[in-house]
Amino acid sequence: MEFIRIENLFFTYDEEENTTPENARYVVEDLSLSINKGEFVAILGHNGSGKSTIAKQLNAMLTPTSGKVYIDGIDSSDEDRAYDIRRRVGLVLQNPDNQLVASVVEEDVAFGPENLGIEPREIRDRVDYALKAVDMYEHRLKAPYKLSGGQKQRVAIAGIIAMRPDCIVLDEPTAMLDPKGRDEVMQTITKLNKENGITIVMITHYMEESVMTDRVFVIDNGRLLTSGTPDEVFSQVELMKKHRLDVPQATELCHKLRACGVEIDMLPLTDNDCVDMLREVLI
Amino acid sequence: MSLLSIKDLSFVYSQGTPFEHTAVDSVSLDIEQGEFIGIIGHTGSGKSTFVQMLNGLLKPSSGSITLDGVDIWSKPKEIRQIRFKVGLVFQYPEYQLFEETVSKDIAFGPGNMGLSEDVIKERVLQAAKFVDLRADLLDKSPFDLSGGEKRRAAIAGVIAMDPDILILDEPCAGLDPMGRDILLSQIYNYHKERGNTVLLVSHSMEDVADVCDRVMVMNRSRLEMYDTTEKVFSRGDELSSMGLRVPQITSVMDSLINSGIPLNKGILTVDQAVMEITEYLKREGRL
Repeated sequence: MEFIRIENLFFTYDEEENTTPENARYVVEDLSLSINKGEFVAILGHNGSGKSTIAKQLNAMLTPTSGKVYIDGIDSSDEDRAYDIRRRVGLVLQNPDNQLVASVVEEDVAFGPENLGIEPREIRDRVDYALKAVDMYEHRLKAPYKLSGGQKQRVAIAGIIAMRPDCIVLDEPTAMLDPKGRDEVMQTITKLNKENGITIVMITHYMEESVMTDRVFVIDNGRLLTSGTPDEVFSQVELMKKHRLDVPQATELCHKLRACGVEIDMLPLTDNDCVDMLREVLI
Repeated sequence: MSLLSIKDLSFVYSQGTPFEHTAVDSVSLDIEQGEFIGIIGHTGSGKSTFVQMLNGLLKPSSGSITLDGVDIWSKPKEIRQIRFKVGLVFQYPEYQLFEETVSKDIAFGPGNMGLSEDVIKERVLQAAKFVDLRADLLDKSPFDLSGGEKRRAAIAGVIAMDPDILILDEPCAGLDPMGRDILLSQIYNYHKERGNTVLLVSHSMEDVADVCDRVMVMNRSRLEMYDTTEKVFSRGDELSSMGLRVPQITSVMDSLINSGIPLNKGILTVDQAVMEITEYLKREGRL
């Protein structure tokens, strides 16, 4: 079932009165895509490609200059329904320090549901549920500043979960984290998708992370360059490099070996697949 | 004599209060002139506190830092001179741009050093060249630049002071893959051309493996390892117990070696791996 539908989206940050269709500098240009309920997708693109603008379109923080964005069938340009969209789609940003507001972890997670006007008893249940879902329940009484980067980011995600969204959009959630923090956040996101059925849209610069998703969209200058399963997208090594992106090191290794004449049929995406494949070739 | 000699260096935040926290604990090491050193460690391991002590922004709680044979705190009133010799580029340095034009911003550091106008002008041009900022950008407002250009302008401001030691805290954070590669190679070329010592704090094991001669591994405020890049990344199990890891390519090659294929250890980059595997196949007469 379709959850997000983008139809011929154009967006410019220029002021409306100074803009004509001819002189507008579009950050997103004629973008159309659709994401199903329960999918886990990645959006890739170089700096300035329009990825973050697209993320903000998904919970009506920004609305189209022209074209349409539908979330669960709701038109995002209908201002009266912005609230309904934000209840369905939560947004997690890059820097965890900018997203935590309270001085105790569980109070921070309660902030969202409190604003939704939920009953106190129900808030308690939701906070506990959310903290367990991101595996931070035992840290519920700690001060956020005492947590590691990965833990803080998981608390930020819990704050979203407590609002019971259908979908979470994450804009480079691991950019500021150390390797362990990155793993923790990726495991959490994967679990929320697989076990809780939450639709995940993740924007990232880390190719190894997008390998774990169902589908990858590559954005270039506000347009959709290519999309498909990670296998389909990352086998286009030259195309990715041409657009300032990369492929996982394991993929690049096999791509280069193939260019040297080594017989390799399918390009692997993960360490394990790469090792299995090369073992066959080398033994 | 080493360029930088660090002995029993410790730093304690909020000493004497219930919030007392030792961020750097008895770190000792020597850094030689012209080395390119990576600093890795989990969040909160003490990396940033450590580098802020190196340029005198934080005063050690105990221990000493000797630069060129002189204790940097021997004359506390002259600590400013140390900041010219040890240049520190913070995380997200583009937030610190403030001048009217890019060239004025880059000139701010050398201006404070009391250099003549001509020398400053020369330094600005050179620094801009190292980070590949086009000449026509120099007269623009820094706020009109793109994110990547801003980042490079901020780094140029520190390079323009011509520090003996250049320290960069996560210079590539938030850049796209090609942006990372370009910035990293600019820093590397600067290091090669000028022979300056560079310290690079990074969460990207791949970046560190690519450019660093030696690596410092910080763990829970202590210096856990300090060795050549190859040796540090040959200790994968220990690194993962500290929340770190080896580059993906190194772990792929290690698994192949462990399954009995006679390849050489210590592979750090994709190109080295390609070379190693093709040479093996040629030796075997299979390529």
